[in-house]
Amino acid sequence: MTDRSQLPEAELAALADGSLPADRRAQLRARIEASPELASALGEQERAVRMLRAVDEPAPAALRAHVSEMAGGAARTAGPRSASRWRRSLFVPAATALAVAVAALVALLGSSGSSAPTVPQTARLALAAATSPAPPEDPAHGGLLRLRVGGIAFPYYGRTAGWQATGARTDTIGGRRIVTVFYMEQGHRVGYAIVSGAPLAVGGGKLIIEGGVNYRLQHTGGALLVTWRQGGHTCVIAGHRVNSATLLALASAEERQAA
Amino acid sequence: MRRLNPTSLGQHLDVLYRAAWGLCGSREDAEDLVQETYARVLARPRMIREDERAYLMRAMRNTFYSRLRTASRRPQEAATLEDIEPADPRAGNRPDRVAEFGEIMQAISELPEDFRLAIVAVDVLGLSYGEAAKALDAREATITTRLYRARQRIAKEFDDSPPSGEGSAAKRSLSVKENS
Repeated sequence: MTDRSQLPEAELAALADGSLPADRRAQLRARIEASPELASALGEQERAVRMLRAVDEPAPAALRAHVSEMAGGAARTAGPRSASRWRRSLFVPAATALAVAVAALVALLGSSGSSAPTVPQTARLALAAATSPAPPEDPAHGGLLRLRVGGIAFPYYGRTAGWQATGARTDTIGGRRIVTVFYMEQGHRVGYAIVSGAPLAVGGGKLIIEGGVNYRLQHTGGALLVTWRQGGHTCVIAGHRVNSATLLALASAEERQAA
Repeated sequence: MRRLNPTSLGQHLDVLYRAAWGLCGSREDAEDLVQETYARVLARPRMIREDERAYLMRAMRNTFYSRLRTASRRPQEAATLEDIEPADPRAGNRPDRVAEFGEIMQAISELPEDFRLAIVAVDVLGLSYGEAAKALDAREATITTRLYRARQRIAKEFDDSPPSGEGSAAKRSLSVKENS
């Protein structure tokens, strides 16, 4: 019998993943053959290694696109280092002043700037007026409307929750498409917006976790909104005079399917 | 010392995403962590000594700790939807592949932090013991011991053999495709 506290843990770990030097391998193998405890311990290590190295889940496309965008930006701004230091020190105040001016201009122009949309901006769209008719129910996919953003379809609540789609609108902020569908039920109205592309920064509010999904419940300008992510995109549902339970139920009850 | 090439960092994205999921235990948090890690690394030119992947692991670990500190300072009210509404009807709708992967990552995220970092660095990111030790600021011998114990717990967690003896905890059953 081998005392488990005396197991050559480091060597067993290395043998299991193939990193143990060849000269120590044969010696350890001989010990393992003579010890069921060692064999069992090696078996566990090998099983875990096989399991972990078999996973191949790729990063979501939206995350890939965002990282690629960041890397491209960094590569463009890197430039030759040798001459850049003194220039940077000389021009930092001017660049800062310029950045402040640009930020002020963007703020004055509202959503027409080139930066990514924010959750409050998206919520404002979800509370705005419709500009086009509502998409019809998708007969091929029960519980969904025939309108998708980045593979995510809008839900059709008509049969279950009673909320009917009444209109839609499409906006662009910072080059990102935001599509909103409006629903009504007994005089109450909510807007359900999906922002294409990389996830928006979301924070604050009350966090509610269900089915592995993080829902953020927040108040803004007298309205209530819930934000979450699906398929790498950001979804926002917002409404006036609608309680949190209703919004959360609508946010979590949809049965959209990736395209 | 060499300069980190921003355009080559994308090649590590998939593996870094899996590692982040193992650290955080959820897909959404993993996406946030990876995005923030890349944003920090790419914020200015970097000179690195080690392998790019080891460098990213170190950056991600620092970002992970930084997020934990920030989260602990921020008052956060958490509740489950069960308090408000019936269970989510979408539960279980995800493809099996994602569920299996998610289960493995969930199991990793439940390991003690030191074990988790070791197994993520070596078995998910594919770093050598030496690289992992450097990235995690630990001795190589410490990394191998933590790795051994982390793997042991994961193997037991997914042990498909019939339980021997009473009182065995519920184990996750999982069939894993083997790359042969």
